[in-house]
Amino acid sequence: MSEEIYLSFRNIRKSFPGVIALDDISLEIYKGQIHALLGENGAGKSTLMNILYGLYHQDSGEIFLSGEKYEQNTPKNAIRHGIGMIHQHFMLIPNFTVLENIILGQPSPKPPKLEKEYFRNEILNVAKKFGITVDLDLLIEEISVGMQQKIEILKALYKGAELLILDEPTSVLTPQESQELFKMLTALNKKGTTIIFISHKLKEVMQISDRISVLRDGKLISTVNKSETTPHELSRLMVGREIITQYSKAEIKIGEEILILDDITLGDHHNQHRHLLKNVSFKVGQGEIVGIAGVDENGQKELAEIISGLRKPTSGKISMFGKDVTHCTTRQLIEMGMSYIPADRRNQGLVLDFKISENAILETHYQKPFTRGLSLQRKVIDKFANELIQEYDVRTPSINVPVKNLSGGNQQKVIVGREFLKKNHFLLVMQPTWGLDVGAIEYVHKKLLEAREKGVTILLISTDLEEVRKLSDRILVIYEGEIVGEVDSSTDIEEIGLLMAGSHKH
Amino acid sequence: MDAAWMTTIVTWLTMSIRMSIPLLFPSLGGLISQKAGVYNFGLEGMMLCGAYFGYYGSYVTGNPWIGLLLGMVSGGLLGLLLAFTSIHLRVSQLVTGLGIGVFGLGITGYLYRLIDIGTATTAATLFTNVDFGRLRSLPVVGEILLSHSWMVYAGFVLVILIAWFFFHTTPGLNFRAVGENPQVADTAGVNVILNRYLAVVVSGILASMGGAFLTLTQTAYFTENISAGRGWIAISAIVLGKFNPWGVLLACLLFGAADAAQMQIQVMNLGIPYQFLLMIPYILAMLAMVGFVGKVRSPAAMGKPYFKH
Repeated sequence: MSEEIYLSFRNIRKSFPGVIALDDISLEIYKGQIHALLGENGAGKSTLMNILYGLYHQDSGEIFLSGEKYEQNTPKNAIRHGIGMIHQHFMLIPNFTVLENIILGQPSPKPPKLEKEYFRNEILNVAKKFGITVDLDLLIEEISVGMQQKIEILKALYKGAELLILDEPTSVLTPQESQELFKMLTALNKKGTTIIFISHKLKEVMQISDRISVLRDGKLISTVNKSETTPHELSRLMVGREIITQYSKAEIKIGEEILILDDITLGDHHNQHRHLLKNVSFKVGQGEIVGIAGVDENGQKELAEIISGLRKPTSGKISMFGKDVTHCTTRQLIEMGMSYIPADRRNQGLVLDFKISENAILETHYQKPFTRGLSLQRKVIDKFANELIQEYDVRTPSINVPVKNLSGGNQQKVIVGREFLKKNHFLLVMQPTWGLDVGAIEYVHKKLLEAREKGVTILLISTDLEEVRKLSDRILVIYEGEIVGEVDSSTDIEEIGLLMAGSHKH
Repeated sequence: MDAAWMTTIVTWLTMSIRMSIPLLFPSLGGLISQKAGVYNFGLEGMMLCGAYFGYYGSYVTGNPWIGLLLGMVSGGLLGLLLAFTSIHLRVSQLVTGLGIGVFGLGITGYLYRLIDIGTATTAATLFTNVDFGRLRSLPVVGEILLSHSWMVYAGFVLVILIAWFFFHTTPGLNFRAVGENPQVADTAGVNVILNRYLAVVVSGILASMGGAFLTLTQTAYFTENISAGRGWIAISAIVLGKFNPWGVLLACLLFGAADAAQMQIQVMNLGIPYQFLLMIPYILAMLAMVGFVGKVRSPAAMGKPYFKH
């Protein structure tokens, strides 16, 4: 491995209103290596890379590229210097074709004409060189997320990238797609591309990187060679303390049945012959955590919406706390003691333009003590919101910040805090830790287990199989809208995986 | 009977084209602005300024070209104002746009009263119709297609130019990307701010040309609110045309035809109260807005100011 320094950051500082995002970061990246930036959400990984790419500017500090001072960091200049960045949210326009997306911003050989055929040949040449197969005429919205990411990489390579920055590239991918991505990255790396890989997942960092830099709270904690470290050491550096990998669950006697689903079916109104949910029946007892495992888009969202009263089933019956609630409204269910943490936090969990304090009382704002008579009790609400951000460690300058300005992880903490602080007997939880960092995940898990010990009934719907296994007393597997199996948490992960993939059908 | 009907239809078609033009200019202007992601709700005000200053310039100098130029400058300046407030200051595009719309109505009405009341002596010099020589005497076609001023043909040429720009040039692709997702465009090295400024200023100029068309080819006089809401109808013509220049042309021809029809029916004295006929274009506009044309996909970033960190 060559030890030539390709890129170095010297004393980079950057602050945003209320937060120091980067605190005196100095870091070297060697040519031809895969260098991972590891850290929790908000550690400053993405900020550092956005500065390099020119989306932000550092308050102070310098960047050197191939030994020369790199100034005027703008995206255009970055591309000219062979830096390509694959953002967490893809920089692609859904109703443009793949070809149009790649040539966006490129100078035409015969200006101002859009020479599509010329570009097509050029791009196909690059694709061939790096072994990528693409159909350039499909619209972005027609292709899978994994494919979109390949297009992003191809776009960067086409623009002459010698350094690829990938920001949390696997967060949107299935495990198979992730493995495919890693194969592609390794191949690119062999052809001489330097890669910076931003991640908070230890496993993948250990799998593909040569060197690893750990960031925490805007500071560079350490840079190590992969061969000289262990996942254990990395996790300690990343979190600043040891993390628990197994929970000890209190023995609890499971009480009466709180939630009963009886033969729930939901038709697909776009397609008469299809069912989104089919004959779903199960029961959850008091003090029990039942996990619903499954690959995304197998009816979990619909199931959660039916249980929470947001949608009505085509047929079937639901009862909660011994009452038939099939026709109850969501507010009635909430008043009965249901709490719901939806997976789609931006659309179902929060009103993005509302302040944290307003979001903290979304479901209970009309009740005492938040409302007296007709007027909202500002002081009570603020006090409650302050307790929430403190207890749930929401990182924000104040409770008066609109939630849209918070990071995804902090938004989730607001929802989790709100639902847990409310009086509840039944928790419907969907993807509760999606987008959270290791520390926060552990915290949410601990809270769920605490609730269980207090006798709260919990239905946990998650595509994270590890999470379901760690927390649940029983696991139901959902596949294409049907419950295809019931297992317990000691069941082999491979076996659950096979059920999730629908193998019972064969 | 046949001959009379024939004449009526020929007149109607001729007028349809003529009436679609004062709609086509502001619609194309609005389209350009919206494609870059900025709502232009000030089209009506820009149109009125174009109509007034076009009239004024031509009336004072006796040269319609100077009038047109003056009108275009007024539209461009209003465009610049909208651009500055909505792109630079990131004020609500709706509020400033509506403000400009109302401002145009007020200022032109006021200025007009200052100079005089419309008598024969204050008529502006009009653009003459294009001379097609002997072709003009072709039956039917000659009347319908070849009896117009150059601005009518300019409108059609603009449609071709804009369609070519959007779909067959590199700057056009970049331009559309700015309206779909400015951040993507920015990361690809496209100058978002410049593109949006140009879009809104050009939008203002085109809208004012629509107004100038009224005073410099049709009436020779300015009257208060001469545009009669065409700047608002233009907004629905853009939706009806599904954000495509050719679609917008069709929509404008349709509205123009409706407008011409109501005029014709009034003349024919069919006993229908003319107020009902006057409603036709506006009803069409509402139908367009409620999705009569099916799913319309507007530029994704429309109305959203762009924040660069």
